[in-house]
Amino acid sequence: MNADELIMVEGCRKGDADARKQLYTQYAEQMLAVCYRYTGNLDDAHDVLHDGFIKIFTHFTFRGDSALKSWMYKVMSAQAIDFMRRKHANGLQLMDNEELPDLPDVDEKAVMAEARGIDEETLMNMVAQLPEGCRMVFNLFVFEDKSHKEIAELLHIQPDTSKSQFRYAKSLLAKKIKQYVEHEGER
Amino acid sequence: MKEKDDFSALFQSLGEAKMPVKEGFWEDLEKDLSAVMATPMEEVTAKRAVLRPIYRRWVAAASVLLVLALGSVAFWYLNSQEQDMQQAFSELSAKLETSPESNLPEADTPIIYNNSHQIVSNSHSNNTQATGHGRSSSKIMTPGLVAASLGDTEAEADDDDDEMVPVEVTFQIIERGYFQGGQPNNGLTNASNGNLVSGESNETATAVAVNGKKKSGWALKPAFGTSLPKGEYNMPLTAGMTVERKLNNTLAVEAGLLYNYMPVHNDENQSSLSLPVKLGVNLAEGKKVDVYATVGGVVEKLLGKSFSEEPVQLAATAGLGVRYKFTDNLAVYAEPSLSHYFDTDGTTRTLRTEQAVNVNLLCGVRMSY
Repeated sequence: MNADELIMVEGCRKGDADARKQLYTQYAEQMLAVCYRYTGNLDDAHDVLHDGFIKIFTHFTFRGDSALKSWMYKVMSAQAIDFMRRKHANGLQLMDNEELPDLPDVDEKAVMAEARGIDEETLMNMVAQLPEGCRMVFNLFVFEDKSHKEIAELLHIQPDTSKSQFRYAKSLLAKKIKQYVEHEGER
Repeated sequence: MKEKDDFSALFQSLGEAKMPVKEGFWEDLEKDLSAVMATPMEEVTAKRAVLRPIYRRWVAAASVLLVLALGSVAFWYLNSQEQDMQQAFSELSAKLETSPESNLPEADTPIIYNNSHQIVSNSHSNNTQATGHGRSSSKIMTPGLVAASLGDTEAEADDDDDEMVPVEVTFQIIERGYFQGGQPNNGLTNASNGNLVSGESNETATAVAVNGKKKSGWALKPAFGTSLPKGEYNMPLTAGMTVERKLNNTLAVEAGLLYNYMPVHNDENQSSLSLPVKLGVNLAEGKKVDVYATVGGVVEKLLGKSFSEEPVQLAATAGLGVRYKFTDNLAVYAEPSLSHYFDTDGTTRTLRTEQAVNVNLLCGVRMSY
């Protein structure tokens, strides 16, 4: 952490308005992307971002054990998960393993080759458009580096359910990439 | 082991992605933040955040260490006291065995050992049976009437049966019963006219009155209780079991396991397991009611979250307790207490984070053995 960041952190801890503005300016856009990946909806993402920043400013528990960005990332993803849980009082909409439609196995190398030219925003939208349950699992597995066991604990599901949801997410994304590439090729 | 694949790596670049925030978002946020900060809950949170994290950890660790140290000192003190008493009784027994038998009475006169730590000679009764508590059929002396020296086995004789002979005890005799009903010959057994004799020298030695059987000092305390609510965090319900070990007449240590159900308004309810360790100090002891103070620490873990997400939370607690005794072994108690929960690295909001200092009430039954 550099000196400017240290001053900013101390300022946020003391409730300094300038430090808060600085923190917001520095991280708001990145954090909105995190929220969007989880919620799949821009309005919901803004709501999560709002509540996340309120939480950060009123409960500034950052201790310097990790990078500031990682800590904010953690707060926002936790906020997004809580938001999704609140949204669905009866639990996340996760399809049972039996209900998941059969999709062809992903030829990862082929997809990777096709996906190289796709811009960040498009990839982001693809993730956001995933069904809720597998979107959560995909985010936690890929971006939060959680294991399926940890995801299962977090979402109150079985580890096998997490694995199957992740496989389903991958298949859907591969299909979307293929469709996108084909569509772009026709243009 | 977490599987890694190229496909995941493709999307990992999105971790650094940015999206433009809608116009006026900061202004709205600032306004809402001011409103939130105006509430007492957030003022408390903000004040707590000023304390540097490193100090918070030290305070938490120091609180736990303090409790452990107090417990250790109390235990050491008790042990040394018991050893002293055992030694004193051994010496006493040796002295009594050498005392002249000419002073033995013709009539049997039981020594009554009562709750007030007094040795009383009662010449009224010819009954040589030990009386469980001594109070029921015997005259109980007040502390002022008790005299005599154990060092002097030639105590003053008194011809008047109605008079009590003073006995002075040079050490404390505790209630936990060194005079076991089944061991009448090992120590003080009988006395007449103020003389203390060894049980072996007197065939009426069964006349030792014992203040009940020896207690183990352990007690089981099923407990239930609650704490004050805060904002959207409703009153939690606590239930569990603690075990208390009496160290001496004044001190006791207590530990156990409590389950806390913490309902949250418009959100997922939370629950936690807590492990309290407390030191109890008797402040006043009555026939039916005891008053005591407790001080200690609590280790609490929020359930449903892994240790990496939500590490254990430490708390320091202090309180007062009132105990109503139905019998020697059964009592009910109420313990109001004040607790302070220390911040953790976790991000989940709970009643413990929003109301770090809280008032709690634990009630229950105390069963001693």
